[in-house]
Amino acid sequence: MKHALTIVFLVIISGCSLAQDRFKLTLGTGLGQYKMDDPKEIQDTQENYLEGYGLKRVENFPMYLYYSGEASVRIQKIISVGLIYRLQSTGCKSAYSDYSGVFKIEQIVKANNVGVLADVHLWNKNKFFLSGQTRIYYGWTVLKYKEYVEIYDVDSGLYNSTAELKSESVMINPDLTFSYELTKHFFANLSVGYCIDFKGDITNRGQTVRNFEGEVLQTDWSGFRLGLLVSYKF
Amino acid sequence: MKTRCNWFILCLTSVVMTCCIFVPDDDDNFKVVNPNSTVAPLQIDLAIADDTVDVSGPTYFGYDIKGFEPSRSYILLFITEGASGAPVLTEFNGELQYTPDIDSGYVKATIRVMTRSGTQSLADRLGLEQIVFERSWTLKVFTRLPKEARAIVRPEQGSLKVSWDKYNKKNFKAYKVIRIRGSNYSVAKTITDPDSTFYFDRAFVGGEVQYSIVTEVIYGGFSSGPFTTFDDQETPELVKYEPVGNGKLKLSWSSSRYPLNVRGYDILESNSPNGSGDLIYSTNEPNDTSFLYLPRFGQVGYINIYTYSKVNEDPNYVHSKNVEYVHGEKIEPYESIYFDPAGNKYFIKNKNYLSAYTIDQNLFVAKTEVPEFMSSFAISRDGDEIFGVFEDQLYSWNTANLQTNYQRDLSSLLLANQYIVGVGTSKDSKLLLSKSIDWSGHANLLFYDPVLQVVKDEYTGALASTVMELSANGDYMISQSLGYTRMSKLEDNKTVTNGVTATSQNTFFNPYDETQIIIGIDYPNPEGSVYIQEIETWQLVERKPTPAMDVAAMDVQSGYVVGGLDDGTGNYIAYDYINQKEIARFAACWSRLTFNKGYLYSTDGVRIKLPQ
Repeated sequence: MKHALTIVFLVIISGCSLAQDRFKLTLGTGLGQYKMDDPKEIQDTQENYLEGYGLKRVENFPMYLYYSGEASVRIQKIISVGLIYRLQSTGCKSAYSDYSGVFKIEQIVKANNVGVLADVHLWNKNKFFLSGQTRIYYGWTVLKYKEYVEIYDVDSGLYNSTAELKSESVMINPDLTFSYELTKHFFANLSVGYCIDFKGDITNRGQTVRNFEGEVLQTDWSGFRLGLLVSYKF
Repeated sequence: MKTRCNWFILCLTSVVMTCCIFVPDDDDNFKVVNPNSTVAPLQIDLAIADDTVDVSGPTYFGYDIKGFEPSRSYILLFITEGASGAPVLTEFNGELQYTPDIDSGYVKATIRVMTRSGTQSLADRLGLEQIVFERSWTLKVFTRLPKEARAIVRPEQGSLKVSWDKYNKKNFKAYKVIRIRGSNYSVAKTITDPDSTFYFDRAFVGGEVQYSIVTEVIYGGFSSGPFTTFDDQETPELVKYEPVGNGKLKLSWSSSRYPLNVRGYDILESNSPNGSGDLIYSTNEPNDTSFLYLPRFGQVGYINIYTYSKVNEDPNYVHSKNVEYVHGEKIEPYESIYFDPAGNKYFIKNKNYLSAYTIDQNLFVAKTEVPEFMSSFAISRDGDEIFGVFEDQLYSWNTANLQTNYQRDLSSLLLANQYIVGVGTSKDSKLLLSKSIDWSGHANLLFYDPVLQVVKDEYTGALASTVMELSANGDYMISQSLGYTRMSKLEDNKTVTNGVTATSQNTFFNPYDETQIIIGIDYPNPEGSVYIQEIETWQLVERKPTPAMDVAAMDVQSGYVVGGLDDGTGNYIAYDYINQKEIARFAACWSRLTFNKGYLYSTDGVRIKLPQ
């Protein structure tokens, strides 16, 4: 649904007449670092519990691409405000396999974030621009947990269990954006910043998920962001 | 230009949205593991000879598995084709049970042993990689158990034979002979030869016994035949007893129908129909079925034969029904007996009856009711009347038919507390009446004329007597009172001088010499127990030699005495003291005896005619 709305928004925007150079559409991607301490703890707990099966962590919530779409309007000479949508994901995987079968435990975490941004023009010279930006968005996180065992050539040798956990949180993401004017309307942007996630409680069908100590487990998207975007001003 | 940019943005967005979610790496941490199992092979052996086994019911099979490794765990499955489940065993006891759930047919049975492969692969660690060892055989199921064998029991070859029909099938295992005797239930014999379909019961000597034949087949099936009851109550019985001389009796009985089983016999004699009695003979010879026996006299005997089995089981004997025998002739038991002078009839008083029988044929003549406690009777000298007295009544009956002649009240002859206690007859047919005058036994002797109904003479100083007899001249009287027999003299002054108390109840006037009395001594005297004494002087005239004996009965007419010998045997002897010869012997008896005209009578209801 969110993807559809994004595509519709971009199609509409692309049909608008270009005037006054006040509006800006920005699309881009970037590399995000995601803390995810508690999901890592979930993975650790399962690996310890299944210690005898030789599971090894092959993915551990690495940095992964995020995708942004923004629309802003300059309200003053140096200040712009806008709306932002960002999609980010990561995950982890523990696995063991041999000739007889495979055993995997995976977590895929993704968040749809919708928020607002504020852009302050700081400096420009010739075709180079520098601005400071702050993005505040609300994220809806889905964590898919999957255990998979397959023993080859055995009728009862397939086990596949999934669970979908959710969380919601508020994130704030200040960063600096370096822009280069490619044409009168197109700009290439490089943004460097840090996302602070105020964390959201992981729930499973409405019930908070806790560890053995009774502590509530949370997602944490906090980490550095490095983005590469393209803007179109009109 | 603008349109191309817009479509570029749109396509870029679509591609990005499709490919932008994190996907884990394909690396599954593959490890190379040796797929070859490390399990040592097992050898499964079955405790049956063939691969096809006949099964007729719940059956146990033995098995043996070699090659177990102590560090491994194994599970054993016993899989039978068509069964809804297979028992899983983790401890192996070497035995499996199979219960067929089909009526007939072939069933494949498999012993399957499984253990983990030990390769340490993922499948092995999950327990999904097993090494299987198995072995199968075929069960031929049939529900027809051996036909129930019925035991046929009959005496044969001196024992008791149990036989049954042969079981012809290949799966024969054994016959078992079940025996029940009394409270004992036992397996008498186990026979593993299918052709051997008989059993001789060496323990049976009679009574009731039950047998059942159990036919067993291999692997646990069996059928039990019905119980056959054999009841032989025709145990040896007293066949006959016959005098063989010297007063002895030969007792013979039928030998057992099971002589091979008989250890011997015990013969017991009882004086009651239901008692077991005393042992009179014992033998360990099965063919010894007779013995000579000195019978008792005076009582009806009951012979009981115990047949003993050679086998010591409980019970190991059977006994016959008591067989009554009488050494002599049965007569009616009595309290007192009287004989008519002519020797034709005898009269007995028993409870409240007076009965008359002929002496020769012992035929019943007549019976009349008398007071139960009447104890003194006398027969007139002419033998026509028999008198009895009780309290103050005098009774007279006709000896021909015991019709009552009269019952006369003699109370006029009595004062208070006086009774007529005895009656006798004198030569002149007068009655001697003993009138008890006090409680100490003093009495007056009345000579009473029953016709005139008057007392002719009265003598004082007598002792109350129930039996009285006068001498031929009427001067002396033999009387019995207080357990003693006395000789008394009637003095002219109408007094009775009580003479010497005789210690024997057997004191008689000598029928051949009226001046003498004959006394049978009731204590043993080695010089003889028959004394002949002068009445007047009480001098001993002669002592008749007899064996040392207690005289119990005496017949002075025939010159016989009967009594117990003082030789430690307890036997009795009948002895002719005139001719000095033994007439008969018999075992001890405990009844009172009376001798008359060659017949010895016993109060217990027996008489015997002694040889003349």
